[in-house]
Amino acid sequence: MHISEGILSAPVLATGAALTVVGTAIGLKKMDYDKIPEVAILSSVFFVASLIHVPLGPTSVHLILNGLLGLLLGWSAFPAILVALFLQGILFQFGGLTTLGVNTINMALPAVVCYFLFRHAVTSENSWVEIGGAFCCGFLAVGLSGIMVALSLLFTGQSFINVAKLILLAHLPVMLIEGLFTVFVVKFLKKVKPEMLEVANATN
Amino acid sequence: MRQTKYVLQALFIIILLLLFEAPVSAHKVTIFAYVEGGKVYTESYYVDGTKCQNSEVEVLDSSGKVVLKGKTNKQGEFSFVPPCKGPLKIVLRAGMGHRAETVLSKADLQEGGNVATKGSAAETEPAEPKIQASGQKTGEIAISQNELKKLLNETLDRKLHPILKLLVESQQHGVSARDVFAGLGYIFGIMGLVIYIKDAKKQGRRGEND
Repeated sequence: MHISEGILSAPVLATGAALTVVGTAIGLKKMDYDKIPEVAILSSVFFVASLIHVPLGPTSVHLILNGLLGLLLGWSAFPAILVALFLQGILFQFGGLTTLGVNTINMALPAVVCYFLFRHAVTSENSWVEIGGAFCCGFLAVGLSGIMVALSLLFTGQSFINVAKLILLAHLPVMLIEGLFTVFVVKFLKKVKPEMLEVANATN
Repeated sequence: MRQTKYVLQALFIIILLLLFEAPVSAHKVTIFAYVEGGKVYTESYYVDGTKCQNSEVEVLDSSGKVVLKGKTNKQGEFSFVPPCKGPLKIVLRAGMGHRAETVLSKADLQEGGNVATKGSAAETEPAEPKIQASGQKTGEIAISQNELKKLLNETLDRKLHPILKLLVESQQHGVSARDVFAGLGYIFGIMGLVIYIKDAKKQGRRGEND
């Protein structure tokens, strides 16, 4: 879902960069001293997740895990994703430096949105609500990212509906896998360290 | 604090597991082009080595005008006779925001053989460079210098084809483990830096209060 260089027009790139700066500033401001290692670990998870590849017909897609990052980090998902995307751009030539802003906002904004949507659900006592919330968080974050990519490509003359359909269809398996993965992580954290989910709520 | 440590350790192990399972993904496309016998051959790949099938290829001249359009075949290949003397920019669009480009200079185009003078239709099927039967003539038959040149060119093209292909393939490499570890190292380096800055701020604030 990384958009390559040379596709988007300057206004789109500038808008993306500006929004990313704002989001990252909020994220850094809200990031507690004790939370920094967690942000770094999840940033590396995101960095590596993009290498896990789901072959799919003529094209191929990979894990994104932005829902998980959003759930655990809240606004701090912005700096985490920004750093990971920057390194992916430099080391693997995924995306690119000029599109860094757009790509960050495309993945981090859905992360934050899902954080606000599902943060209460995952700490619920009712295990159905908890599982459903976690699944939707992983599932929706990827879906929203796909829609945002389609929106970014809108100004290049590609038809929004077609691109969105294509991206969402291609990422459906990833959405399912990420939903399940998020459920697994939430369950695991509840057992080992429930504060990690609670703390995220308290500090933001 | 202790529990945090365990969680972080567990997460780190997950990362490592993911790492060793990772057969490197596609999130980058590459296009390679080379000239041979007056024809331009291109090959397109995703970063994991999957070929870009049925992807759009555009050829632009120096003024940025699209002079040729085509689609890659199942092997990710697309070949065409250059419609002008170049330089040519070849752009690959593999959908969903994937794009790559490569440039063939005038010199590249000329080295590769005779450039077609008139615009001709693109061929999607890559054809082996044509070898003419006259190549068999040897011995006493007198050959003019031009003919000899032509023969040599044709033979060289034919012999070099596999080598060129190999070169193109070796140029394309996916994500290396070294890069992955480098990235992880950078992330933790940045983490250290952020902790340091935040700590310095904290200390400064404490100093003011005292």
